[in-house]
Amino acid sequence: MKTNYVGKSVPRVDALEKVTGQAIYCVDVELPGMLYGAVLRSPLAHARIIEIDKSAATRVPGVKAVVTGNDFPYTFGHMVKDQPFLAMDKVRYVNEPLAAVAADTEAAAQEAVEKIQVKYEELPAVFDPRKAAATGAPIIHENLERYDHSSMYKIVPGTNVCTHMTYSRGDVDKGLSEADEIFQNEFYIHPVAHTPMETHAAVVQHDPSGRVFTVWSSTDAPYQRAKDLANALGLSFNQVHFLSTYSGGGFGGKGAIVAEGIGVALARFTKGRPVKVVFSRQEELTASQVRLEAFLKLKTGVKKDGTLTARVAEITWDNGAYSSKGPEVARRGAMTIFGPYRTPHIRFVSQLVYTNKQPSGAYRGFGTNQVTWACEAQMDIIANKLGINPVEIRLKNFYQDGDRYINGQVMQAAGLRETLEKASQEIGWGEQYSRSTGALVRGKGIATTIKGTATPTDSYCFIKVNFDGSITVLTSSVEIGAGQKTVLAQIAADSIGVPLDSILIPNPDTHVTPFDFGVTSSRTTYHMGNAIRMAGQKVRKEILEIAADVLGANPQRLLLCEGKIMDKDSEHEVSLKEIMTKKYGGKGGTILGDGHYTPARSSIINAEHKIQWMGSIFWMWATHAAEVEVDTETGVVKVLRIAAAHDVGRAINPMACEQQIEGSVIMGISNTLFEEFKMDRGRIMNDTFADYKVASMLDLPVIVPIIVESHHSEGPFGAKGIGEPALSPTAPAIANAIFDALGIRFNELPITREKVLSALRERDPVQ
Amino acid sequence: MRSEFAYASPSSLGEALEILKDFGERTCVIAGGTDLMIAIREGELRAELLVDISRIPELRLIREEGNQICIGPLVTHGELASSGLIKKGASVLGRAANSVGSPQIRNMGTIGGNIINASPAADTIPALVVLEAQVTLKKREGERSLPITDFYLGPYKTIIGAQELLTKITFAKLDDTWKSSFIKLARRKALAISRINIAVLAKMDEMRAKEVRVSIGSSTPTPCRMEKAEAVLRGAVPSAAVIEEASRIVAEEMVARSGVRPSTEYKRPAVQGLVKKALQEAFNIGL
Ligand SMILES: Cc1cc2nc3c(=O)[nH]c(=O)nc-3n(C[C@H](O)[C@H](O)[C@H](O)COP(=O)(O)OP(=O)(O)OC[C@H]3O[C@@H](n4cnc5c(N)ncnc54)[C@H](O)[C@@H]3O)c2cc1C
Repeated sequence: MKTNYVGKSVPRVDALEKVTGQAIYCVDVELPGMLYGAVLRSPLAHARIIEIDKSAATRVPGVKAVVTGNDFPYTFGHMVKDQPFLAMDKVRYVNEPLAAVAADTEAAAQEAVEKIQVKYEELPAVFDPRKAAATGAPIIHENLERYDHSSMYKIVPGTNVCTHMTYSRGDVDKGLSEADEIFQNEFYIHPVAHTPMETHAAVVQHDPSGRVFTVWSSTDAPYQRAKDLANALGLSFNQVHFLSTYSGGGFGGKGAIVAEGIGVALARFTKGRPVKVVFSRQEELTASQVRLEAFLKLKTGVKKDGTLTARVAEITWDNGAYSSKGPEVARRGAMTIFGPYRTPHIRFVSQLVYTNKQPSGAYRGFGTNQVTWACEAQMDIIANKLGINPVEIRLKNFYQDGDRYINGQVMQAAGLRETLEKASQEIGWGEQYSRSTGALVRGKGIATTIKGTATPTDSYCFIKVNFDGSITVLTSSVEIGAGQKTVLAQIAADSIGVPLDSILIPNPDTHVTPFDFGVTSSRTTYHMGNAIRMAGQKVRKEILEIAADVLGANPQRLLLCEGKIMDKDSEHEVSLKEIMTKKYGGKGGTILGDGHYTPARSSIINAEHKIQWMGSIFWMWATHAAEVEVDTETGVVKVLRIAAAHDVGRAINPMACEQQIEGSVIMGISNTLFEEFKMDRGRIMNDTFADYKVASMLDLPVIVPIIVESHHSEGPFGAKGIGEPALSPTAPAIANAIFDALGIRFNELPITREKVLSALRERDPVQ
Repeated sequence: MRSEFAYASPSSLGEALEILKDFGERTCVIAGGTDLMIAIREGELRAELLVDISRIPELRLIREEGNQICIGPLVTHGELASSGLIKKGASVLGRAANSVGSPQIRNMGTIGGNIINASPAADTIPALVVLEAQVTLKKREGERSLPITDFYLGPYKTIIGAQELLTKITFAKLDDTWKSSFIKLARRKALAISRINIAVLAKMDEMRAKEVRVSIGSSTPTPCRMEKAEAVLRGAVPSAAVIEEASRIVAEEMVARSGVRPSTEYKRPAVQGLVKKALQEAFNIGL
């Protein structure tokens, strides 16, 4: 089908609004009578709360409410309902919110917070999930088994294990016995922060008469958040009204109730006055959520020729003090630890364990970073030991069209091979090059990844054709900053046949825009794109029928393109606006079309043994190839070049895809070589951007994004997704390149210069 | 909570010195504020009166006086980095200033603030040490000048008195028989505090190094020269072997001065590697 917008790098539809400062982010929301919130946070990692004395705080001039967990005794949780809005009975991590103040000014709120007196009884704390899982560890949630939780996640009563899951397919013992060589390796991946430009923020207003909380927030999934809040407070969905603002970056971090929870607790006591809560960078870094830390063990059986025969994985994930989306990360992550490789016999054990640390949750990749780190490093270890080219061993084991995934789903694997071929070609894989000058040594590495999307999940939309031919698309997909509005507008414009600039996509409002699962799991282009395409085709059909009626023509012979209706026979052209004006005259009217997309009934996700939930309606494939230069005198690793090839199905907007790839690679380099929390008994010591170092522009290499288009049979115009998968292969590609340069393997992230230098000195002790 | 204080903004040096004379210990001087604002926000400022010297034009000049270069304390890192005079007569200082923070910090932060703040990681200090700079401290009653290496008592500690203002930094202008290098190693390439910084000056006489001055920052309790290594280099024809030897000695001197700490395991070899690079660059010899 010929398209006018899809496939083109049209500029962001919200670019002008953003660069001129018109766009409203959550931190910009100002309302009449608005109060400011501040939070008292725990100085201890694990302690019983004996007493909270808020009397001095209440007396600070300008203070309107001082709220503790006793005043607002509710808990929430997307998967396990384990998290109080404000700590009750116990605190479970350093900087957990204990009490909150709403006041006329930020300064008054802050002053009052400092006047709240708390008596604690300190309890033994545990920070390593492996220790927390062992018997005798201090128990963090005594009532774990009594918490409401989805039956999908198996809790182990009386322990700190929040989710335990095992799965196997085939017979791993048989598979291992068929192997010529068995590889056993252990890997570690550290927690990192999302570091969005806009910290967590919320403005909340409570209307006491109607019992409605109105929440302004830059969350990534307004329906999920509203549902979780309603559920926590025993309210109906209509009583929690979410209004999405523009978002200054999410990366998964905005996928939980964070500032919203504080805002709701305060607004309940401010007699209708709205309360604004904006996290400081310290709060963002220490008390929002982080990527799940993970310890991974892989045991892999391989034939001499590199064919995988069996793989056994054991993963221990750090949940932190509260579960957020940890249980689902632990589940979906574990499922892809076998990589994009056909493996006849597999088994995994995945356990998610509470510790006395900041909660962990969704982080771009949703578990894929952790498992890809282990899987791809081990593929290199295997290739190296067996003397097989790392490219060859991957090609040999890659899924092919028709192969079965670990749940029996038949794979659509077109595109996978091409990503490897293109990325390795771009980096000059296998070519001769000068490997060292003085202290500087170069090397190259590759890594591949597989990422699915949460399946099945639904998206709905309405398209409204207004009486003048302008079009409004009502959707709950938020603009998280990745270009959602642009891509969805492109799909709408081409599905209906109207100019891009006639389309408006307002920010979501849960009282108006219909359900969407959320801007998560790289799902928006595909799912909401499909819903919009359906709705677009409906309104297009209706427009043509109305036009036929107005013009007295045969609707079958009419075309709608760029907002003009053309009669194929007479080549007579009329604008959509004219048709609408003729039809609706001076009084006005609307053409409405709805769209609902769900993959639930697609044959693509058919699987064995009713384990459809493990599958995915589309699979995203990617290969990154990195070239690094290591300074053997200082241990500094400089990434020179990264070629990142991604199968996106079809690039609705190639520039937006490239931006996603480049942004992810930057994040990947940053958390592989730079970012690291320094902890002291549960306290994060580097809690500002002066000390928590993110890679700067000068630290970045040449990034070559490569788009592969395999055309998904059910995707809108063939599209799949791109938001997450571009991050996970970066770390192992860099580590594999470092190995190529030095012959030293780093199985633990991050790869700091101290570790590099110390490993080099161990290898070559000084005379 | 943010610190609370009174604020004075004198428009001449005389006026500033009067205020310091009258209020002494109760004052704190602010120039660019890039160090001080952080302390103020954290509520750590002890002073009652903040004396803002940023509106005193005479303290913001870079001048040539005979064969001396004379820098006012309010000269910003950005101004130092782009000054033609500095580029020609003291490029090591220009490079050091250019490595500070980010453009915003370089536009606000001053050389005077960098010197007085006395952070062991301050980037201009090693450059000033190898330039053998003199600092001039002035109070209402008079002024004194001393070598920058005599100015420091320890990390964040100097000998400046409560009534004194740093008013001038001077050093001899270098001719082109002097070669130099400045290398900074930080956690990332921009907007990061030095973990190690190195300034080298070498006066060449044909093939020989007539005089070599080396100072490393972030690594010793007070700024100093690496005299043992300098002695090895003095009079030598720079070669890979001499450079290797001198770098090893610098690393040893560094450990001798700072003692063995958790960071030494990394710093000792890294200092050695970096000094090697700095010397190679100054002597312009390849690898
Ligand atoms: C984000 C960031 C990055 C930074 N990066 C670097 C870096 O890479 N390298 C580096 O070296 N520094 C860095 N700094 C530190 C700082 O910018 C420098 O030390 C700067 O030179 C301080 O100058 P200022 O004018 O801002 O000092 P101020 O903050 O105004 O003052 C600092 C101290 O000096 C005193 N003072 C200032 N002028 C005088 C004077 N004339 N007489 C007497 N006392 C005086 C003040 O009382 C105060 O104690 C950074 C700071 C920040 C915030």
